[in-house]
Amino acid sequence: MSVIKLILREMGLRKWNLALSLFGLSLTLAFIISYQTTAEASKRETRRIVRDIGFNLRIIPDSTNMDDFWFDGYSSETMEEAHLKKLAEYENVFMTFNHLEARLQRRFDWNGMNVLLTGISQTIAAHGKKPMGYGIDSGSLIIGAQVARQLELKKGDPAQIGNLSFKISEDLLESGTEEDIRVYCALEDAQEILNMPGKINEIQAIDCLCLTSDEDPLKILRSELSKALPGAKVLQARAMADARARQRQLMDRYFGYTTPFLIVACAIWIGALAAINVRERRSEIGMLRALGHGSGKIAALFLGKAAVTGLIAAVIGFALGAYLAMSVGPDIFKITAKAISPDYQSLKWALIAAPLFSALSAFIPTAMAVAQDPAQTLREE
Amino acid sequence: MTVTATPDSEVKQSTEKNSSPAYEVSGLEKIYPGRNGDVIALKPLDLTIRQGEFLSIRGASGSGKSTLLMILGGMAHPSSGQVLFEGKDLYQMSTGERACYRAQSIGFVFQMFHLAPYLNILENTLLAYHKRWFCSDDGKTPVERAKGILTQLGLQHRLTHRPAALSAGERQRAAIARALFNRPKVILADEPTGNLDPDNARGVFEALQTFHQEGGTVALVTHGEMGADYATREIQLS
Ligand SMILES: Nc1ncnc2c1ncn2[C@@H]1O[C@H](COP(=O)(O)OP(=O)(O)O)[C@@H](O)[C@H]1O
Ligand SMILES: [Mg+2]
Repeated sequence: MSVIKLILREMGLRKWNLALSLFGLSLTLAFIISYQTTAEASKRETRRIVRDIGFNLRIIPDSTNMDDFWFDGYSSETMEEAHLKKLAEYENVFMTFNHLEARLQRRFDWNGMNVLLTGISQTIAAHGKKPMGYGIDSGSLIIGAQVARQLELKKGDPAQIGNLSFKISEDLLESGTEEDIRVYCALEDAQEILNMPGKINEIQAIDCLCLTSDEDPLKILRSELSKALPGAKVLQARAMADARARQRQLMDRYFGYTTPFLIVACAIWIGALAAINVRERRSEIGMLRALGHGSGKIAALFLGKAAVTGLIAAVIGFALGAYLAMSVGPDIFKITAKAISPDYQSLKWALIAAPLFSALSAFIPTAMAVAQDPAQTLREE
Repeated sequence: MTVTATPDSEVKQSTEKNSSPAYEVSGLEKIYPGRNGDVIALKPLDLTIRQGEFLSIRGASGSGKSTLLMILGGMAHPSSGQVLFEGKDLYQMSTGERACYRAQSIGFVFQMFHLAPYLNILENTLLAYHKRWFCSDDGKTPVERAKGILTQLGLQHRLTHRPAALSAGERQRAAIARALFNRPKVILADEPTGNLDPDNARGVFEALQTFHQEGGTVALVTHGEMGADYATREIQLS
C-alpha cells in the first residue's frame, strides 16, 4: 500500500487527532491570512486615496508671502534645488516619505495663452516603492486640456517654448481645476525657459505617517525641517489617509507581537498531537519494522501525515481567513468593505507554507517514532 | 560460562537432524544495564535451529523467550555472542540489510496481533508486501496472493473488515496471513495463542503446522501444553 493511502486511512480512523490538528493550524492560518488580506486592502485603499488627493506635504521657501501663495497656487520665491537631495538624505531621521518631487512653477505667456508652466524633477521614491505621478523626460511636455484646446495641440505634436523644442507626450483629460492650464515639463527645461538655473519653488512629498500617533506630525516636521532646510516651511495638506494609516500601524504592531507567539503555540500544538499519534501507533511502528520496512517509510508516514494535514488546513484556513477579513476587517481597519477581496496569493503561499510548517512541527515526534525500539513494543503482553 | 541448551533440556528430539542449519547461535546473551543493577534478559545460550524444524521454546515468564525471538528476528542487538542465519552473521549486517532479511525471510506472529486498526484485513496482510522483492511465480498479483492466504485461513468473508470487527481468533489468523505473505523461510511466533481460547489456539497451531509441513522453519514460544504436540523439538530457557 502506498504511503499516501496509509496516511489517509489512518486519518480517517483517528478523526479527533486530525480534527484538533486542523483546528490549531487552520485558526493560525486564518488569523494570518485575514490580517494579510485586510492589511493589503487597507494599503491599497490608502494608496488610492493619497493618489487622488495628491501630495500631502508641501515644502516652500520660508519667505513666501502666503496671501500670494494661496492666490497664485505657488510660491513666488525660490529655493535651491539642492534642498531636494538634502531632504531625501534626511529621510528616516524624522520621517519617511514614499515620494519626493521638486517643482518650479510660474505663470508664463505661451503663444498668447497664460499657462502655468510647471517643471518637475525626477521623482525620488523611497526604497522599494514605484514612483508615481508624472515622470517627464527633458524635451517632453504634458499639457492640460484647456491648453490643448486653445493652442490646438495634441499628443505627438511638436511645440516650441522660447528657444527650446518639445514634443507633446500627453494631453490630459479635462479636470475642471487649474490642472487644465498647466504645462508640465522637466525641471531643467523649466529652469532654462524661466532663466532660473538650479532653482525650485516647492518640494512635494507623500509622507507615510511613520510618526507615532500621539505626536503631532506637523509640529515635529516643522522643527526638524528648520534644522534640515533652513529657509523652508512645511504645509500639510491634511491627508484623509491619516486615520487609516494610524489604524494600520496599530494593527501592524499588534500583529507583530501576536504572530510569533501564535506560530510557536501552533507548532507546539501540532507537535504534541503528532507525539500522541506516535504514542498511539507504537505497535504499528514496531510491526512495520518487523515486516522489514525502513526508517524512511516510518518517517514518511508521520511527516506525510503532517504535510497532508497542513494542506487541508491551508484550504480551510484560507477560506476562514478570507471570511474573517471580509466580516470584521472593515471595522478593525476602518476601511470600506468593498476594498477587501480574497487574496489568492496568500492561498498559494499557504498551500506551500502550511504543509512545510506542519511537517517541521512534527519533526521531533517523527524522530521519536523512527528511534523507537520496536522489540520493546512487540514483546509487550 | 555458557549454558548450552543441552540435550537433557531438549524434551523432544529434532527429526530434521540432517538438514542444514537455519540459525546457529553461540554465546548469545542480552543484558539491559539499569540503575539498580543490570537486568539479564537472556542468559548465555548456544543453539542451532535446523531448516524445516518446528522448535518450541519454553521457559518461565521473564526467562528471555521474547528476547530470544527478537534477536533471531534481527530486531534487538545481543549484548554478546553471535547469530548466524544461513551462515551470515545477522548483527554484522547493516540496519538496512537486517530489514531486508526480515522482509524476505521472516514472518513474525505476536500475542498481541499488532494489526493496524485503520486497515481492513486484506490491507493489513498487504503491509508485508514489498514491491522490490515480490516474486509472482504463479502469476498472481499481491492482492490475489493475500486473498488466497486469507481464504486458506478461513477469512475469505472478512477481507474488508477492520480488526475491531473480528474475534481474537480471526485477528490472529489475519496476523498469520500477514506473516505468511512474503513466503518467509522462518516464522517466529511469540505466544501466538496467549489470548485465544483452545479452539482458536488449535487453528493457529494448525496454520503453523501447515507452514512447517511445506518446509518452513518455526520457532514458537508457548506457555501452554498444546503447542508441544506440533513441535519437532523443544528447548527450555531458565
Ligand atoms: N528494555 C528492557 N529493559 C530492562 N529489562 C528488560 C527490557 N526488556 C526486557 N527486559 C527484561 O528481560 C527479561 C526477559 O524478558 P522477555 O524476553 O520478555 O521474557 P519472556 O518473554 O520469557 O517472558 C524480563 O525480566 C524483562 O523484564
Ligand atoms: Mg514474552
